[in-house]
Amino acid sequence: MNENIKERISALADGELSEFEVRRVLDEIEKEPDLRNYWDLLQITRRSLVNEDLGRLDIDISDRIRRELTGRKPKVLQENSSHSIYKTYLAATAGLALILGVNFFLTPWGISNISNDAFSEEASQTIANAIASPEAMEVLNNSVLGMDARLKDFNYVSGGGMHANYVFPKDGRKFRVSLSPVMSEYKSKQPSTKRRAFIKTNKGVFVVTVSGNITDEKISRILQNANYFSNQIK
Amino acid sequence: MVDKQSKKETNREADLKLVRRVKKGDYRAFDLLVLKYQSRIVSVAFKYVKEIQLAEDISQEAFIKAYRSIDSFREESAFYTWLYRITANTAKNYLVSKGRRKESSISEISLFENEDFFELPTSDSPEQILMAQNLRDTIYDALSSLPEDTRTALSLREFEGRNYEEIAEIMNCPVGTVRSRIFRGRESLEDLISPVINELKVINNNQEII
Repeated sequence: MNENIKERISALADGELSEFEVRRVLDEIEKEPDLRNYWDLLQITRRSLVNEDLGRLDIDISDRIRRELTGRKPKVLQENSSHSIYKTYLAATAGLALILGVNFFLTPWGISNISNDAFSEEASQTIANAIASPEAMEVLNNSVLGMDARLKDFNYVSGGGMHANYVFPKDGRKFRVSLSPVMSEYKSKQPSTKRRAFIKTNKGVFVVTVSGNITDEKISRILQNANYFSNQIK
Repeated sequence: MVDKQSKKETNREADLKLVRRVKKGDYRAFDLLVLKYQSRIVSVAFKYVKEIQLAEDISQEAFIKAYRSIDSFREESAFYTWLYRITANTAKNYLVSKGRRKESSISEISLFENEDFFELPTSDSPEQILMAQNLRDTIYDALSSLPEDTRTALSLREFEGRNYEEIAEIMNCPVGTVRSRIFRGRESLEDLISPVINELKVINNNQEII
């Protein structure tokens, strides 16, 4: 992100910009969704600093309100958003769920010729489209149904992959559910066939993997849950 | 010591700049106000209805009402005060419709515009309280590690509620330097507190999921 525009956003938060500058900054924020996240983090930082109630930080109803008032969908989220983990998680999990909703295979499928760049571009668009889909979010939530697993954190990895890390609160065991383009998955280590599922979509072939301290039975259940619930919303 | 009155005034002025853009039909300015206040507004609604999905729906309705009636906001109070009232009334009216409370008129919104609002007590879990304390400790540690000029500029802004011109006068430097120092200070703080904030978000979220 451009430091100059961030500095102006900081000044906007302090009410120190002229009307003309406010309009210019709004133009910039509209063009780059990461700047919108920067504004969000800035507000949280300021409230934390003066010891104000932070409220429900995991809640984001801004897209719903925007759609209701303008009929417009949110802009594409950038892959490198360094904060707003929950929003990133929502975006990526919804993207994952949407992809799962197209087709699902429990046997290895071979290597797709899709490039990482093409994947990233398409995935970003898919994610953007999927944010608006409550059904998509439902699929992912339901994939860990009955597991008593707690989401610990979430992050993007290079090449367009995504990781969601979970823990079983009962005994502290951890596991990870990942989505990667097939090319990057094959460049790195390959999990056993029991721990992965290949997904063919009209955008290309992707792989979902489950790793960590988790039984084969539970891995199978995660993959089957995802498959089942994605079928429910077709 | 935080100068609450000055801080309130400067924050109010900052919101009013966005509100004036909204009055000219610029939705982007309203979006920034939504981002700024949504977590607090959902908390307000939650305190009435005790159900998070419902609190989100009521908050959404409150923001929509605020946007559609922004021209009736006379700027005599802070935007948040006005928004808070709309939310409280929307929640109360919902409870009335469910037969759980005596009806309150929507006109209260304008009647109370000049009054200071009353914050209901929070009902955070021990885990949230601990994380919030952790966040504060992280912030104060980070603040004390900033270069003196940066720390002074940021403290005058955040704790004393001084505007850039006043800070420039106090620190005997150009306004542009003040703006830059405050920005640098915030950048340093954000790098350190982002992980803690993310953890807080996950805790909030898990309390709904589990």
